[in-house]
Formats: sequence, C-alpha cells, structure tokens
Amino acid sequence: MFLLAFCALLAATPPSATAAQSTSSDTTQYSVPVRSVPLAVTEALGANVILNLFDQATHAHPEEFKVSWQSVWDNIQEGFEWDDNHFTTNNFAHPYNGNIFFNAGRSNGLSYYESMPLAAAGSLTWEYAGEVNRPSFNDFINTTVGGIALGEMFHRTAATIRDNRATGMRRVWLETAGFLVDPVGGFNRIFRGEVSRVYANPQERDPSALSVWLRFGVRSRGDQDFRFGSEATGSVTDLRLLYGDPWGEVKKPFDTYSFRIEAASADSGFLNGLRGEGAIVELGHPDEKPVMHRYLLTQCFDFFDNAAYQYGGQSVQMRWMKRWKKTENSSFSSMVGAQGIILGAVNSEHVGLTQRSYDYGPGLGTDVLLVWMRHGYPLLRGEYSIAWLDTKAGDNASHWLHRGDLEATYLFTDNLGASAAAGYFRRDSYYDDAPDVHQWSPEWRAGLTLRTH
Amino acid sequence: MASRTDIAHALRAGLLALVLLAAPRFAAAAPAWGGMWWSLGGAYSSTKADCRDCEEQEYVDTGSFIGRVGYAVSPRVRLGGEYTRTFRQQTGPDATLSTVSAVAQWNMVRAVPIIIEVGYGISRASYSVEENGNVVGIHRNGIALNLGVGSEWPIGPVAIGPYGAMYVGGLGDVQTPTTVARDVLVLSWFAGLQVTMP
Repeated sequence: MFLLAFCALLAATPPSATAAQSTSSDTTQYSVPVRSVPLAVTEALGANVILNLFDQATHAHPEEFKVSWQSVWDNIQEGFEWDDNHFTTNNFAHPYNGNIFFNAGRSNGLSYYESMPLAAAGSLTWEYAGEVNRPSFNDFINTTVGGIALGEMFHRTAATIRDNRATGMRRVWLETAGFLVDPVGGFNRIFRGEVSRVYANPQERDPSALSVWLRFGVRSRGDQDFRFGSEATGSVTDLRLLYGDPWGEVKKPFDTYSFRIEAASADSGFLNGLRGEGAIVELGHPDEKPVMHRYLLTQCFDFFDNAAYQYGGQSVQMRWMKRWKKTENSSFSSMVGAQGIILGAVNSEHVGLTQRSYDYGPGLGTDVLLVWMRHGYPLLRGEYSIAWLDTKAGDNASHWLHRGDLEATYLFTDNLGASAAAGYFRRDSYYDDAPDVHQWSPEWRAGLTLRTH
Repeated sequence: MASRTDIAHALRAGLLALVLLAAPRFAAAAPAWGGMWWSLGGAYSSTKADCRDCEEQEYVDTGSFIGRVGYAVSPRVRLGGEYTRTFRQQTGPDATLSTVSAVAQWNMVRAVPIIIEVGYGISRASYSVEENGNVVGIHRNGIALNLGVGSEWPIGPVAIGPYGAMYVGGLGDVQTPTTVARDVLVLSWFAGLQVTMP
C-alpha cells in the first residue's frame, strides 16, 4: 500500500521546474471548486447513515446500531461518557472517520475553517444518533480534531495525486489513487463528472515544494537492557510526505505540512507510527529574504504504538524555526515546539476496563528538531520530544513520554539512497494509587531510501 | 410518566427550535462579520454530574451567565474566548460549572443566521455529595468542551438572539470522603438570550 501511494505520487508529481513556474504565474490558471453548503452537510450526515446501515448489517452486535427517537432522547438526557473501545479504534479509526466529515466540506468548495464544523457536526450526530450507546466524550474530540488534521492533509495529498489534465490510463490510475486517499473527494468528482473532464488543476496541486520519501529495510527494537533479539527484528516501511516549503509563506492552513506513516512486521502493532503536522498560521512574518527564522502555529496528529508505549493525541503547537545557511549546498536548521495537547491517550496498567487499557487526558509537550541539509536533502536529522499527560479518564496518573531519533541519509542519485537511524522511546507513569511504571525501548533501522520531489 | 425535568427539557428544546426556525426572517439585515466582537447573555441551565459506575444523577436547574470576546477572521468565522458560569441554587444540592474556553463560531450561510459554536478550555466544577447523611462539597478543575447553536438578529447597533449550548467538564477521578468517583463528567445544558456587538 505504501509502495502504491509512493508510485501514485511519483507519477503525479510535476517536474520541479514546472512547479516553480506554476507558483510564480497568474493564479487564474487554477480551477476553483463549486461551493455548496447543502451538499456538504448532506454528505457529512449521509456518511453516518451509510455507516450505521453498514454496522447494522456487519457488526457483531447489530443491536447497538438500531437507533430510534427514544435512543436519541436517552442519549441527550444521559450525556457524554468516556468510552472503553480499543486503542486503535479510538485513536485512529475515529479520526479517520472525522476526515470523511471534514472532506465533505473541503470537496464541496468550503475552506479549512468552514469545514471544521462539519467534522464536529458529523461526529456529534454519530455519537447521539448513529448508535444506541451513550455519546462518547473522547470520540467526539478525536473525531473532530483528528478529522480536521487528517482531512486537510488527505485533501491536499489527493489533490497532488490527481491531475485534471491527464488522460487515458494514467488518469484512471491517478483518480483511483486519489479516491483511496480522499474517498469523499473522489465520490464528488464522480458525482460531478470531474473524473473524466480535462480542465485546470486546483491550487492545492501546486505546493511551493513537494517531496515524498519511501524508506524500507530492517528494524530491530531492543528491551530495557538494550538487548536486540530476533523476535523484535523485522521489516519496516516508512512513508514521508513534505508538502509545501516549510520556509515559504503560509497563506492558508496546511500550505505546508509533513506527514509520516510507519509500519513494521515485528512490534506491538502493524501500524507503528503516524504523525502529521501542518502550519495553521504564521505569527509575524519576518521582513527578511531569504527567511531565516519564523514562528508558526501548527496542528498535530499523533499515533504511536510501540514496545515502550501507545500514544494517540490531538494537539496544537507553537513552533519556532531558525536556519543557518553555510554554503550554497549546505544549511543547518532547528525547530523548537511548545505543544498544547487537547486530548491524548497513553497506555496504562491499572485502568480496569474490559477493552480499554489506556488513560485519557490533556497535556503539554515540547520537541526539538535539528537538520543538516546537504544538496537539498537531510543528510543528518535528530529530534527529541517530551509529552506530559494529566489523566482525566482512567487511572489518576501523570504520564511522561519521551521519543528520540537520530537519522543519517545519503543519496547516491537524485532518487535513490540509503539511511540508518537509532531511536528511543520511553514512558514514565506516576500513579496516585498504584506502583509507578518506567518502560523504554531502543531501536535501530537501516535500509534503502527512495525520493521523489 | 415524564418527570418535571423531562418536560422542562422538552419545552426548552421546543422553544429553541421554534426560534431558530424563525431566524431566517431576520436574515436580510444581518451584517457581515468583521473585526472585534463581544457578547453577553443569560440562560436557564440544567446541570448534572456523572461518573463511571455511578447511579444516575438528577439535573439541577439554575440560571447562568455567559460572556465572550473575539475577532472575526472572515465574514463567516469568528474566534474568541468565552467565560460561563452556572449559578448556585439557593436551596438543595450544589452543582455549578464554570468554564474558560477558546471558541470558534461559524455562520455557514449568511442568508440563514444560524450560528454554530465549538469551544475547548478549562472547567471548574463544584458539586455537593450526600454521604451517610452529611452533605460534602467537592471542587475540581478539568477540561471543558462546549457545543452551541444560536442566532443573531440586528436591533440598532447590537444583535439579540437565542442560543442553546451544551457544556461538558471532564474532571477525572474525584475523591469523596468515603470513595473515589471515577472519570467524572459534568454536563450542563444552556438555553437563553444573548446580546452581541457584531
């Protein structure tokens, strides 16, 4: 699947020169989507109807989805609760569902800000009227906030994959790949006959920069004594998308974002990590050319499932960026972030619920990222992040999460190279009424790297 | 048989629905959003606390206050801060919720002056619990979430309109004299009127 996505982006990525021409020329060359609020609302709510009918037909407990006016009224009366679904369901599946609601707005011509209430409305109607169970407080936040972050990234990624000027089989492949990334957008394109029409591309297809990295190789995770056994060693695949120039102007939310997804054969879950961060707004654009430092407000989506911890979180971040240009081909940049975690989930030993083995709560975080760029790619990259969560559902506890990574990459050609990395995950959980827990896990990775830009 | 609280909820919901249905009549005069804005309002509110494995609690009906200030980032989107407080009952059990939140408001279609609000911030709840015949007051801070819907009808330099909202305070575990209430959530429904300087 990662390879498919990489190939689709490879096929869709315009040559760098073309991209540069596009961004500097008249913006009237871009197509503007037709704006329809009624259609956006209908699709967001219609997605719930379809999901409800699907669950009634396929779920192990279909009675949970046989809703009635009485069940809706009961839910209104009883109000929110914290639910106890599995970690991946609550921290990945629900945000993904929120992306469907959000993109009902984006694919019907609504802006990022205008599509936000659709994510909330879709989530709220599902919680109160999509299932019989009491509405879930954590689901509402994860679906809405996570859906906005994932939705905007998927919307823009699909726009870079699709090419309205393509014809023939290439068009078929690109539309198919775009549909998989952004199903609601794909549905609307079929509905409006845009999949087969040759016309101008939207502005989102021409970011100020675009690079996609696919890394595959071997990864081994060690135990707390730094022993690396064969049972924790296996293949790893890592796809990264860098959309927009991180030093370019941010006119609209997510004009620049980074998205990374990692899957491995030997760890606690197939999906090991998913992290997206997009710039919402620039706080004071410095009057210097080239820009050497800047402040951004960003939105982040996090999902980590590894031997040391499980963590899922929705957050906003103040980010300070600075760079130093040494020579024409060499530069050094740093990023420091201060994160406000709206809602995070961390695995916990003492929750005592049937399915849920994690705590929920708000928190704070910080991270530092240092990058040495050589010939336009990150030769050496180091990052360290710390997050603190104060439990509001689960055990009374404070959780501290650490994540560090040092990665070296060398490109033999413009598109092919090799990389090696060392990483570290750590969780320190301090419980009010139970023994504290300290877990950590080191890792190393090595493999081939493919790049398109 | 429906309880008095059920009927009060139904009446409030029905009133709010009627008012919102009537709102489009006033749309033609609604000004486009821009620059700073503020609003003040009062509401009838119903508040209850709930926790994991707790018995179902009754709603406590009181009045409440709401104040907001912010900036319109586009003709359809406002951002701002909000303070709300439910008043304490003069008699009976205490169930009050205060929130300080960052809020976003949307008016998706100018011709239909229905305003949606979502907010997130911090909450403080006070609740009285009866244990062994003694009433014990509990105070706890937590996270706050609010979802609201309302309207604005221009009258002179201001706009007046109804709003209804749901405020939720996520407090975590709360220690009472004899036990621990797990994963406490406080829920408060608002239905009232607000004055806005758009």
